[in-house]
Amino acid sequence: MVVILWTDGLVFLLSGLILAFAVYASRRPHLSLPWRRVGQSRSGMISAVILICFVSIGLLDSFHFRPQIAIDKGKPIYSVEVLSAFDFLVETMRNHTERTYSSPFSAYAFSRETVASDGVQSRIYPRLRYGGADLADPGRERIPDILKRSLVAALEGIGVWALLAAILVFRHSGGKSFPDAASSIFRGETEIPWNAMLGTLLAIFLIAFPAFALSSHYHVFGTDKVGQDVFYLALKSIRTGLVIGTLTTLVMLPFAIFLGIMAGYLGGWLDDVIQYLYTMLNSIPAVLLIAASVLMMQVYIDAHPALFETMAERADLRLLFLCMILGMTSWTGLCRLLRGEALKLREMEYILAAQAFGVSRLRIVTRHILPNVMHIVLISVVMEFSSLVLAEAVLSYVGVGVDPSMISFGTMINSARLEMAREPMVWWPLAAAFVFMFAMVLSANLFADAVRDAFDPRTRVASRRIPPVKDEA
Amino acid sequence: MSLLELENLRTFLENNGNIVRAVDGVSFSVEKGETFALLGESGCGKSMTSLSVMRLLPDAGRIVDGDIFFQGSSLLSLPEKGMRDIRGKKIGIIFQEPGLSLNPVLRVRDQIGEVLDRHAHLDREARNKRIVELLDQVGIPDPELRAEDYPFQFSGGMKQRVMIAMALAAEPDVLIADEPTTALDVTIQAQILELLRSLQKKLGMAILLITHDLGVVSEMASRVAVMYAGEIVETASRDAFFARPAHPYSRKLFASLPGREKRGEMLDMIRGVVPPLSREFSGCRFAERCDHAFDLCREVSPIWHDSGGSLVRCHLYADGRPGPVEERKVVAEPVPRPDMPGEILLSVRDLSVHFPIRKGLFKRVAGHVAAVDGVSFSIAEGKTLALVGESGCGKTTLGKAILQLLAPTSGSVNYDGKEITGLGRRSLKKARQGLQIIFQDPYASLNPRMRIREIMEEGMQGMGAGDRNAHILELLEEVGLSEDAQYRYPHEFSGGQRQRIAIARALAVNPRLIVCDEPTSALDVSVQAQILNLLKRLQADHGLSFLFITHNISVVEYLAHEVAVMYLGRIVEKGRAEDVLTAPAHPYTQALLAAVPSIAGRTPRAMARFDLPSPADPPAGCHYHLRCPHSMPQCETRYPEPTRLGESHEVRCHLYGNDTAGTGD
Ligand SMILES: Nc1ncnc2c1ncn2[C@@H]1O[C@H](COP(=O)(O)OP(=O)(O)O)[C@@H](O)[C@H]1O
Ligand code: SF4
Ligand code: SF4
Ligand SMILES: [Mg+2]
Repeated sequence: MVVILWTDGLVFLLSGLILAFAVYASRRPHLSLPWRRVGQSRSGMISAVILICFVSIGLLDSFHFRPQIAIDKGKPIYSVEVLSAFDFLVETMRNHTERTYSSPFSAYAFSRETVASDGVQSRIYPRLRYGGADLADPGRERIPDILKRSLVAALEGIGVWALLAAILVFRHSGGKSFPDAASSIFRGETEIPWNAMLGTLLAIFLIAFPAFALSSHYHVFGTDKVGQDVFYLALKSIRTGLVIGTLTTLVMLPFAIFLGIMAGYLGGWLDDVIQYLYTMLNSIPAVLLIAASVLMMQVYIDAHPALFETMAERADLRLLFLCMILGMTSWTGLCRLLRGEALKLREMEYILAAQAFGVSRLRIVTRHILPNVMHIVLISVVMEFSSLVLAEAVLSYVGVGVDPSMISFGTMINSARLEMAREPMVWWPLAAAFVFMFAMVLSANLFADAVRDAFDPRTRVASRRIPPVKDEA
Repeated sequence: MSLLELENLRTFLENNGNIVRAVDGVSFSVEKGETFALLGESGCGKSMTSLSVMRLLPDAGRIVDGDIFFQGSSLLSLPEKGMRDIRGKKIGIIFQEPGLSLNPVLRVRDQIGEVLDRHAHLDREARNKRIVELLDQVGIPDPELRAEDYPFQFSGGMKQRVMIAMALAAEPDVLIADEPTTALDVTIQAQILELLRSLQKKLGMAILLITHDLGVVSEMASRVAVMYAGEIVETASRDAFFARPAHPYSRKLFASLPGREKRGEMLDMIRGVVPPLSREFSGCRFAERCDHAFDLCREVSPIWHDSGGSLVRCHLYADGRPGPVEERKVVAEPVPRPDMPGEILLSVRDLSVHFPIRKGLFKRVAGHVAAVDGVSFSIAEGKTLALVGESGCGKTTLGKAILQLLAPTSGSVNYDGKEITGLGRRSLKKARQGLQIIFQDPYASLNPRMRIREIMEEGMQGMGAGDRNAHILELLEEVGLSEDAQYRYPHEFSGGQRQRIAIARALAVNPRLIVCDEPTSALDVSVQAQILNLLKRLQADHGLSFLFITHNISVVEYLAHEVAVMYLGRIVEKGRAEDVLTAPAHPYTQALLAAVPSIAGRTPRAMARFDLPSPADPPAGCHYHLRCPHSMPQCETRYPEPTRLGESHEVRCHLYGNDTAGTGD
């Protein structure tokens, strides 16, 4: 049974909007030109490749369903557990749960347990149920086994990559011979830095293929307290981060745009009221507001358990609510920017000219002001993304973030609090959360920089591509 | 040995992947104590030449060939550190935008001090003395006090003086002045040019003057080089150049200047636009726009020829030939001038626009700026009223208030027999139908996100789709743009073309009166001529009236039937163009007319002293009395009433009142 959670619906809506905009913009040079500049940016495209990988995982993780577990008198019975297409894909990882902690690539549990064999009790490190289970003597065979599996998977990765590269070259050959086209791509003579993107993709494949291949025989990032595979948790956290980073802006945009433009364009008492509103909102510490609202929400959810069929629905509602709260507290910055811009645009001569024609105010806002502030909106949305992902981590750590049952970077970090204090230390859940979050936020930031450079004419820097020749004649 | 010598300089810039050959083989030399003028339209590479000399090119730029010699030694082979000793100490520079060239957070004293510290080692006291001396030298009143001020506390003209003081701090041998007065009003321009001349005489420095204004060249230069599309096409002494410009391009520049003698004819114009410098050229770069071009011009780039008086790059002077024969001169098309007095179309009575000045935490109204203060005039059908005055005197505000784009504080605007102030949105929309406006900046007046078609359709909301289509085509044809222009975006057009689009947009509603707010001041002379011709033709064809706001007197002389001179929110003199321009009565009008640099050369003049006072706090009595050479006791207490001098000539000055027997000048 297909389940569409609230956030799923919104994620699909957002993807649809982005697709529609892409089609629309591709036909309009002034809209597509800055994107072409993004396309020419090396760091921008490298980070875009990484982001696309994250987004694909997030999207796959947004197709939810409830598997059928039995048929009772012709009527199917569905599990209460909501799974996603992604869960399905990494089923082995999800199902391979140990009893408790185990370190990365280990074949043994992390702590000694008392086992009774032949009536003798002994305290040993027991073998794991899944990690390296098919090895007879892990001490000797483990490393060669890991290397062998990685190598095979890496070769597979290279194969797939070569296929993709060949398709790309083929599509770009346009009249040239295949080797010519290939060399022009690999020497970076194309407008879009395909060589950098292919390089990044190769690096990703060389990591992802082995990691994925190994994950069915080992726990690449170890297991956590209840024996869940940490690699799986980290991958699942991606969706939560993406949802927070994108849906929050979706919630915030209408407020920021509407109020900002109103204040700037119409001015007068409306301007005073809106300014007053956001100044006031700004002076309340956001954490306070968020904590209060989230706790209130939690009370409501707890009081009405009947509203939710599954745990996932409960957690999802809280996630959505968190997005809204974060949106409510973060629209002020953009709103202030837009007010300033609208104030400036209002004096622009083309707007005066439109007024001289008696064009209505609504039309002026939609046709003249809105399109001319969209670049600001876009820049601030991409810049905001990473800070929202980080905000989620902090809030969940404090306990006012997502539902504890929801896998997210924040909840992973939260549980790491105790793990780091253990002796010997359990470091891998935190490390995994750190690595994934770092990769995501860094690439988002680099991409945001590329977008800002492309859309904001003031920050554009020219590349030095003038031939250093003294005389080319 | 010349002081400064450029030898085959080539400076390229990278722009969106294209190589822009901004300076492409430029050679000239500047001698000690002379003023060498580099003349050319915008985008031809003048600024890049001067920045190359200073080695201050933007990141995207690079000198690819040639050399620059200062007193015989190459500047390009100097290390950056050595170059820093040259900058300021040997070669100073001032830029076009005084507002952008001063650091807003540093006191003037510290900015000048910085230069002094770099190049002269003075103790504290000597340093302070020198700063005050420099400010005094450039004519800043109360230099001791003003040295403590920040740049924003200075007006545009005063900022330019501070810039000059900074450039002169280390007593350079050459001063590069890149359009030093383009951003300033004529009266201030006259002051700055006079200042440069006197400083040059006193200090004996050479000036490399970069400008697009023939009048400025004529007043300042000893030698001239004309630049076109990255190359120099003519060099001559000032006298030879103004007596007989040789290159066809130079001749066209003269011919496209508007002026009194050309009233009633169409201006000669250069067709087309300056070619983009990212293109490869073969042959003469002016060939596409030249009336004399022949086959050779398109194939072979001309070399230098002597025309007897000047050096020219034009094939027509090869082998001692005499140059272009002018019998192909475009016959001046007589323009029918609707001279009979028409019906009054627009009449403005006692119109005032006061802007509140808000202060403090609660934005209390602390006072008012009387941007427009009791202005009355009227415009007849088919006539042009020119409104002239310095920037900041309220011209644009008046224009906007007439169209009700700003709510007037008081007074009446009567259009076509109907009062249009105080109307509601809906009734205003109808009443305003016949009134339109064209703005100064063609880059700000078209929405960059809309196609030309959508821009033009804005005024045609009541029309059916078929009619619209026909009307758009008709309008594009009318303003001289091709049919496919409608599907393009504004950024694909040059400044002049954009101004045509703005005109077409205004024409879309069949207006009867268009307020033209400095429509040509952002354009080059050759393009200005195209726009002025267009406006003049539209007036003849459709009987349009214009309220033409400008500070360019030669445009007024060429176009206007009536003139109103505005000073600090009030009209101080108005009347028929012939009367006001030939016999200006108000001392301000006299100063304004005298300040216009003329291509006939330097003339002694009555200059307006000081700057325009702030409109927020105008002087008591006659607003002009602080600057007026004829100021009398009553001028300081009472604003003069209008006095009639002739049938339509009216002036507000105590010199002409009944209580004084003044004679004017
Ligand atoms: N920073 C820049 N980057 C790229 N091109 C530039 C830059 N500055 C000027 N240009 C180009 O260089 C050419 C010459 O410009 P400039 O020297 O400023 O002309 P002028 O001073 O005669 O108006 C023009 O085509 C202009 O577009
Ligand atoms: S060389 Fe030819 S095209 Fe160039 S200016 Fe002379 S006549 Fe005109
Ligand atoms: S009224 Fe007096 S101060 Fe004013 S312009 Fe006339 S003479 Fe000069
Ligand atoms: Mg310039």
